[in-house]
Amino acid sequence: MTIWWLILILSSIAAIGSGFIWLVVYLSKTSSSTKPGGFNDSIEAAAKQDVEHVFNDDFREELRNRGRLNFEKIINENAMFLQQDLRLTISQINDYMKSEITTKLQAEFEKYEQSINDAKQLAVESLQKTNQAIDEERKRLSEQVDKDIDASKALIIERFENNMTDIVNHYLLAAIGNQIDLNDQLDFIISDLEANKAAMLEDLRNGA
Amino acid sequence: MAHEANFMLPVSIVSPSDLKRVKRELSDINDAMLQIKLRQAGEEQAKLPKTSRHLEDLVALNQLNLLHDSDRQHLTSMLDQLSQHSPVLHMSFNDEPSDKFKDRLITYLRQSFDPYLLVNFGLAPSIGAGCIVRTTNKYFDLSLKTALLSNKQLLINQLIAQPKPNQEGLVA
Repeated sequence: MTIWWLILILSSIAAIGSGFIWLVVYLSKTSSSTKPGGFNDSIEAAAKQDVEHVFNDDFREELRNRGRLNFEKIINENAMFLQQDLRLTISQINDYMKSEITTKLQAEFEKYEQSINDAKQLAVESLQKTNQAIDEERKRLSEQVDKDIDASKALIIERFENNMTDIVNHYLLAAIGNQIDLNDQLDFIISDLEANKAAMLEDLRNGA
Repeated sequence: MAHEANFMLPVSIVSPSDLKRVKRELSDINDAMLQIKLRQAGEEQAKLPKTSRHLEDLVALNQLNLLHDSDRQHLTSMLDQLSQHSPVLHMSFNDEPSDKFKDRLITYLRQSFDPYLLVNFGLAPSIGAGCIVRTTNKYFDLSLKTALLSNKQLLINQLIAQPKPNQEGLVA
């Protein structure tokens, strides 16, 4: 809309300017076409004289001055209008540019934000997957370590239980082996013999 | 058999080797007595051999007189029977048993098992305590090691029930 107004104003200025030029050219042609000769020539001469009397150089100069003034006035007015329109146009163009730039920037920012969000989402998903993988690996390692510890513990306990009798016996021998007198063991030995008496007697009586 | 003759073995006669030694001594005495009988006047008198404590105990316990031929014959006969038919136990201990221990053990065995039971003693230092008994065909491990082994679960339970030591190794 502002462009059309600008074009219209420039067109009007051009039309007024061309009309003024045409008027000046026409007046100069009219003044140069008058020729001397006969009655007509006298009339023409009288008219010319009269015209020259009326439209003498001062008058022409006055007209030129008036025309120049009017032209300057019109030019100034149009220039003022043009200046106003230009300022308005510039202001509108500024607003338009601002709005366009703002819109474009906003769109770009939205795209940029969307890209950042997508990248962020990808990073978060990647981190989540990594964390999940780490958790699974940690869980697997923990289970494996627990399993190994349990197996080692069971193996140690099994070995200890299998060799416990020898260990305790060895310890007893080392600790109090020299202090165990057979006389002190007699009751223990007799009770064991008593417990196995039947089997012993049977073998003693029936064996070979 | 010896049972019927009311024959008794002293606790000093423990093993078949003791029995053989007594038999040998008795044989020597028989020979000496025969020499004395055969001695003629003027010849040097034969001396009776010295007797061991085993033979003295045996004679005293059975109220025999070795100067009598019948008693010697009876004793010889009984010893022959015993050497052939007496049950023999083999017992191994971690240390050499004392005479007192042997006496008490033989007394128990002859009262509870057989009055003519003979025992061969052996050494098994690795058993710790207790004994290992071997009869004619069987083997009885009555050692502390076997006792611990048979009561292993009880030992484990006792170890589990024990309070755990702290970092300084002290039991709370």
